[in-house]
Amino acid sequence: MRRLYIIMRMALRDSWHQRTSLTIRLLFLSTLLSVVAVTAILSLSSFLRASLINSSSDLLAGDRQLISPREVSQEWLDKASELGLRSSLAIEFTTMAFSDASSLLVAVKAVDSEYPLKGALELKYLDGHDNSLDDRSGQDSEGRLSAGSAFVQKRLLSLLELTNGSELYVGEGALSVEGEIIQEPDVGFNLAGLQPRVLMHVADVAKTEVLGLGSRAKWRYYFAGPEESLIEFDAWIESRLVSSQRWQGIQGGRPAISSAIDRAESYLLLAASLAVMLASLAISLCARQYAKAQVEGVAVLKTLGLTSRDVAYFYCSQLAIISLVAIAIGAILSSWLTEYMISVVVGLLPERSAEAVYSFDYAVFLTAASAALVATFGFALPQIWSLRKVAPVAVLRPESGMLKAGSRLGYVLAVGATLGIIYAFTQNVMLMLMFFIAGAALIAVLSLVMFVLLQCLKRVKYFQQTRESALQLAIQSLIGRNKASLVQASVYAFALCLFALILISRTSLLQEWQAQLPEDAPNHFLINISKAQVPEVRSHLSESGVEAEKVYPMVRGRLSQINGVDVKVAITKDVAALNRELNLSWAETLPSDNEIVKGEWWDVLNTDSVSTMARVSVESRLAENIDIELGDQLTFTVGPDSIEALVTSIRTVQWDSMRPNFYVFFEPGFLDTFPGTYITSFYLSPEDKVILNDLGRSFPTVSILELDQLVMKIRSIVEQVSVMLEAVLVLILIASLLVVAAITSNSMHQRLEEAILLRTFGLAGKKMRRALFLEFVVLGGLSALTALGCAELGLNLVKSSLLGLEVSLQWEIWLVFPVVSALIVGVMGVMMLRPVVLTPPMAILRKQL
Amino acid sequence: MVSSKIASNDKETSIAIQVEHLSKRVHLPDQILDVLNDINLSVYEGESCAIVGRSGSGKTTLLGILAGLDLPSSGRVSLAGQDISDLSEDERAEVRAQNVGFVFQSFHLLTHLSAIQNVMLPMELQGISNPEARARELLQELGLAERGQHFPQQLSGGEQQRVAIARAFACNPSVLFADEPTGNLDSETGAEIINLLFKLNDQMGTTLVMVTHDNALAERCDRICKIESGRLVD
Repeated sequence: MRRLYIIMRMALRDSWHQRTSLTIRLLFLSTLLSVVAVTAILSLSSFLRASLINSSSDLLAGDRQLISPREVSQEWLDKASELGLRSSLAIEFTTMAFSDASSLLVAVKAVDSEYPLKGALELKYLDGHDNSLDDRSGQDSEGRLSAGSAFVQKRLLSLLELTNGSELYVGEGALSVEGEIIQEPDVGFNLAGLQPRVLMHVADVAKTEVLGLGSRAKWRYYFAGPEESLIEFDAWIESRLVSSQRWQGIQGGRPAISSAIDRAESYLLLAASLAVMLASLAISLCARQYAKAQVEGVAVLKTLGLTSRDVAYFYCSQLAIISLVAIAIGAILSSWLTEYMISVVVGLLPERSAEAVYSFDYAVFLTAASAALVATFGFALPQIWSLRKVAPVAVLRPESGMLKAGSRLGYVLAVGATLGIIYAFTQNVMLMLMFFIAGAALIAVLSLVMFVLLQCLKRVKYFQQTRESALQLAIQSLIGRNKASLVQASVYAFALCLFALILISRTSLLQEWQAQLPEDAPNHFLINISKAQVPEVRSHLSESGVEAEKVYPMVRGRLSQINGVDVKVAITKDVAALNRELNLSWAETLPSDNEIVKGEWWDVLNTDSVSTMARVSVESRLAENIDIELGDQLTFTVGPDSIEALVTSIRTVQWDSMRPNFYVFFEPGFLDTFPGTYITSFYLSPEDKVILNDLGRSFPTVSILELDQLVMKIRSIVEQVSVMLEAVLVLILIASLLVVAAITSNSMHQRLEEAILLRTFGLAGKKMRRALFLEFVVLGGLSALTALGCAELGLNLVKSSLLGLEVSLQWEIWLVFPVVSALIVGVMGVMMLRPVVLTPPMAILRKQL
Repeated sequence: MVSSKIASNDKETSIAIQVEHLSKRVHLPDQILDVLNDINLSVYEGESCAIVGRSGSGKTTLLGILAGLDLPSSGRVSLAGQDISDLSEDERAEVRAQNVGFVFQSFHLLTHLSAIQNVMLPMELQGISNPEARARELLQELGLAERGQHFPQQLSGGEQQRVAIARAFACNPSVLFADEPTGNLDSETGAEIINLLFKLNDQMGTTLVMVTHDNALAERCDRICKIESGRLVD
């Protein structure tokens, strides 16, 4: 024990003494980076998720929503309450509303005093004061919507000539109109039969006498509470749901938000994994150099009687000291960095996110610390382990102190452990395997390309002739150091390739999001336009300076048979689209945001083979869900009639594009005889919203769906994610630079020796510096080109073969990336090898000999 | 075979190092090199023995094997009464820790330790009590009382070698191996160092085995073993 204590004390002293050594610093920085990157990225990811869930919960008016065609058993609500969940109820139904002046079909939402559990219900009182009922207002239940009162959509005020205190009759019940609805948190995407909204208290439903047995109404139950209770409730309730009930979490009804969450999460996890990989590579490179520098010391210690085990204790202790200090500092830094990043992000967000508070997540930190320990010990230990075998005779004959390569088994275990860690935080076997296979393939490809490029340089005569210019000197040094240059260039290329991958994915992710929701993305829908109103609505919109999307017809129909078999028999699983009527439409041309994945659109199909049967194009996810293939015959029931159709194409639909989208498109001409309405969407800026009043007055039967708040919310989420991506990019950049630094410092010793000769032969320091810079610029430039090529190729392969997307090249990156990389590597090379140039030849000689 | 100032028959019962038919063979890529060939040698306790010879004659290899830093290809070596020819590296490390001190041409002080810490290190490893007092005493004797807290890079070559000598004698080794102890020093400093080395050696009765090119230095030893092409010669 005493011996172990002495050895550990020696290790501590040695670590402190070696704190200025470049390799120790790089080893420390790599471990530190691994901790900071993983903690910060995972914390950002979990904060992002939490804050997106918050935003999404706002849009769901709770954390979960149960939609049921009838009241659910009290047992369900008791279970929720037992689990510590709050719940709230809204009943939705359509009925006639009467005022003294007029009557109209309205969509009633009767809510209880708890509504909304999340998000804000903005109301404007007709007596002049605004009120926002939200889940954090702190108002008691009496302060919420009270029994006997009604709030209505602004359009209804004019349509029914309502003023403050007017009586509004909903069914048999009289309500006092108190104001208008500004914003409802869980305004749906359901465009079917949208009527002007009336909001009332659930306690008044009974007196309306509208709801009887078999009435068409929706019971929406909202639940909110701690995540673990929600998960438990999910499991409890899912086994009790019947097919007519829908259970929605945040991933459920909001494709735009759930896809933003998924993509951002995947990106962040990918980045965290790359950070671990890069840090491990840097650690491995530094460890080799560090171990090499220890050979003489080990030999001396062994002459003093230290055994192999003592040597292992000594260097393991030193590694542990370095790791623990890095982890401790990493905890502070990453906490600070995450807090800072979150404060930046929160500043960008409107309303409630400003209240979001970051708390240090110990579980995340422990994952990061384990990742760092695995990386440090896993990749440094094989090198340290080989120090045990250094022969003591190396004190007499330095040449016999050659350090053996680290154990292959050790590296295999290290790679395995790293993959294990990556799996631990990604929980994704595919991603982990992809890392392993793609990483190995990448190293092989990059080394091969770098080998060919270096061979090409060798064949350029100009570089072989003399050593007059700095460039000739640089290239000859590069070629002369053949194997070392290849390793160095391949490592540069590997680090730059991983960075390029993250850079390109970030850019395309942002571009994709921006393309999905451009500044002028439609944020208002007009529904229930009659055929006769279409030209008038069009001209009204264009006169008001509004550019509307295409106007689509919409016929309500239910899919009743597939290939002559009743759909309830053919499809046993619960598919939401089969439980309700679908909006069927027709179009001459394929909408721009749809893409045919199977079959052809009508304009390409051979018209000779046209039968009397209608041809339809079906949305791909629905087709997959209910096993529809090309050539299947579908029967739709529209009112009392039915129509048969042949599936001639399957297409993807961008549901979150805010344009009218349909599960089923018919070939034009087949639905003309069925009663239908038309729908369109358009963009309105906040200052142009007054147009809506005019529109409402001119077309009282047309419903206006205002989604501008939702679009703004989605855009703010995208903005939030973009800032995170920038932060992650910086961390990956640092990780790549560390790898570059580690491999650069590897050649330091050999370069010092060469410098002695060249400087004593009279080579000016200035010229040497220029030659060094050019050598690294050439290395950096070639590596960056190869790296970018591989990154683009890899991403496009994945895009085209796995995702079926178009291959694209980002030219701006091709122009900037190689030049910037070459300059960065050049400057780093010169800065790191400054001692080679600055130290006077005599000092170098003295130090060396 | 060897020139000796001490009659060997007087010392038969106290042999510090015994070498029998020692050979060392090195496998090179294109040939096999016999570095040492059938060496037989006995070094007695308290004796000082210089190993001399031309560069590449095998003297450093012999020193390494005698000190247990390396193993012979054949033959036997016993050090301090223990046959070390078949011991593992870690077992030989134990033997070295208990019996051997070293002085090297290039000092080989641990750079992260101060002068006094370098001297204390072998004592600490052996669990000797109060190592600091002993280290101070040795440094004082070697004229380095004021330099104890300095690190190797802050010391001159001569000072570093004196620290190395203090470290070598710190655990009262029975055998001291010195490899060209003055090789990196100027002649004046070298002479000072040798005087100190012999003085301590005499005081402690240590057996000294020294490799040197310096004939004058070799002459100060009790015995000179000349080695040529891997063989001990007369």
